[in-house]
Amino acid sequence: MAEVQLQNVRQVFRRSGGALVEAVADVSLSIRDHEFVCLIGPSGCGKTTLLQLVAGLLPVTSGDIAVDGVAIAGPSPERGLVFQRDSVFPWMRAIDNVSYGLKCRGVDKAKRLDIARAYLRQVGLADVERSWPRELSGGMLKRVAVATVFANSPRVLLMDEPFGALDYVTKLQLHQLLLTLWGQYRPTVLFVTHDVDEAMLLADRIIVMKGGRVADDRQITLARPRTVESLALSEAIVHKEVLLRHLGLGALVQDGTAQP
Amino acid sequence: MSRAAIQRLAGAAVLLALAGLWQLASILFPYESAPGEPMVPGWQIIVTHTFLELADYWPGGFGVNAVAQGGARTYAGAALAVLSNSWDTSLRLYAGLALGAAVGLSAGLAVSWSKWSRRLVALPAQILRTFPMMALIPMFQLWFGATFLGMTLFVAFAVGVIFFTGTVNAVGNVADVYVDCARTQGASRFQIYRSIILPAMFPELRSSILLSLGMAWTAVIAAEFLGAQTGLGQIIVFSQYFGYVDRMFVVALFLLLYAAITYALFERLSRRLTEWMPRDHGLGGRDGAR
Repeated sequence: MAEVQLQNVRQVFRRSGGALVEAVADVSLSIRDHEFVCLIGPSGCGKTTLLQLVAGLLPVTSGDIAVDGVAIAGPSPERGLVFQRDSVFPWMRAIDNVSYGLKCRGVDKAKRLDIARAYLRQVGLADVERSWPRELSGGMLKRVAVATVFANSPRVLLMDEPFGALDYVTKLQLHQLLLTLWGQYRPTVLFVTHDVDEAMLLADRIIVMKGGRVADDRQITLARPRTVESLALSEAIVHKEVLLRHLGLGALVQDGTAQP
Repeated sequence: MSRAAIQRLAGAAVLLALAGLWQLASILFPYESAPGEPMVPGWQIIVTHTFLELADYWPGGFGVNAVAQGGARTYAGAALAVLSNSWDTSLRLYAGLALGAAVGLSAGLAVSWSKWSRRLVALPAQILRTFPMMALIPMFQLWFGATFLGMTLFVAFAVGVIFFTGTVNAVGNVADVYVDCARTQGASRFQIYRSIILPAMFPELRSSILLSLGMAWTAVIAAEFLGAQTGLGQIIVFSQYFGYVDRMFVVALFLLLYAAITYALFERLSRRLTEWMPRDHGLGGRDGAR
């Protein structure tokens, strides 16, 4: 079980110029156990900040965030985060990266290496466990990051535009991998993206943020596994049109049937 | 011939040219610092007389009598003199280096550790850092005399301020994403410093370490100038009294050799510690600091 509750969450920070900026303004959300939620919105809408708040890397200015009714206090491996930037430690071999969280919690060496090896195998990197990150491609590094976060058995998985910088094919491969792992380990997922197609492929629920507030909250009930065909169903098209309008891309939508 | 061989040859040619310039200077400027002691001693003097004369600095022992007690100048005496004085200087140097590195590194890390440790350390360290090092020598001498402790502390001071500045700077440039990633995996602050900050900052700290190695040699010789009873710096001072430019020059050559060995050892260690780094881009950046 991992329900995530956000109650009137607000985050204000001061720009280096001195001006106060309200990155997140009064967000209340209730995310169900095992729900796959995509956060979407124009850049600067506060979606990444919201993710960092849930991760505990940033303190809330006001409001409450709780997992299963327990208020969060700082970062924790139960809320794993996959970063937008490359976060794999370049000074550790692949397997040491994957087992890092276990090491921090004092799991003994043989055991943590076994666990790390199993996750590396699951992300398709069994043969590069002794490689340095510099020897791996961008897609492989993301696989290491995914294996690392799952090795910590998170109840909540936070992902901050994790596949944004990858090429098309690699990105689709990682979507499949992520969905498999999500199905197997059943974490609750909060996935930040600016890619409407990515969100449609992955999410049970898409939350649109604008100016630090929730602008729309849509349930995507398309059957899984989703295919090119299911994403071309009229239900999917309507969602997509609404989302594009939210992102200011109304010009791409033919008629006025899909109003946000 | 391979490129590497040509480069080595070019390097040797530069050294030869420098030696030739020295020789040329000795012919063009035939002045004397003291009667019979040339201001710019040519290689013919350095190679034949000077090394043997270093036997003067052997206090006696191992069956080789001191020159001051009527012993003859022998190569054995000269070698023993060089070895024992080098040993003393090296001990002061490496003890100071270790102490200065440990203190400078700790103080530098303390600046980012917490608000409290920053307040405690930052201001005093910044003030100490701006003291002109050479102006401190007389003070150290009055406090400690020409003792091992005094000289070691002086070297530690010179090394420490460089380590401190380098560490503060290098820690500041560690990418936040690594620290955040470690925090979300449950790393404690101590674990973050040990497994993230230290390895991540090492490549940037390298240049400060190289700088501090050079400074350590300068500092230990400077400290020995002031009344040390042994050591390479003390030989230089004695030579100066009598205008023995050739002996000063030979000691300088030994210092050059030792410094080169120190750099080479560090380079080997550093290469092992940075095995994870992307390989050299071929612009000579990694060797540039030598």
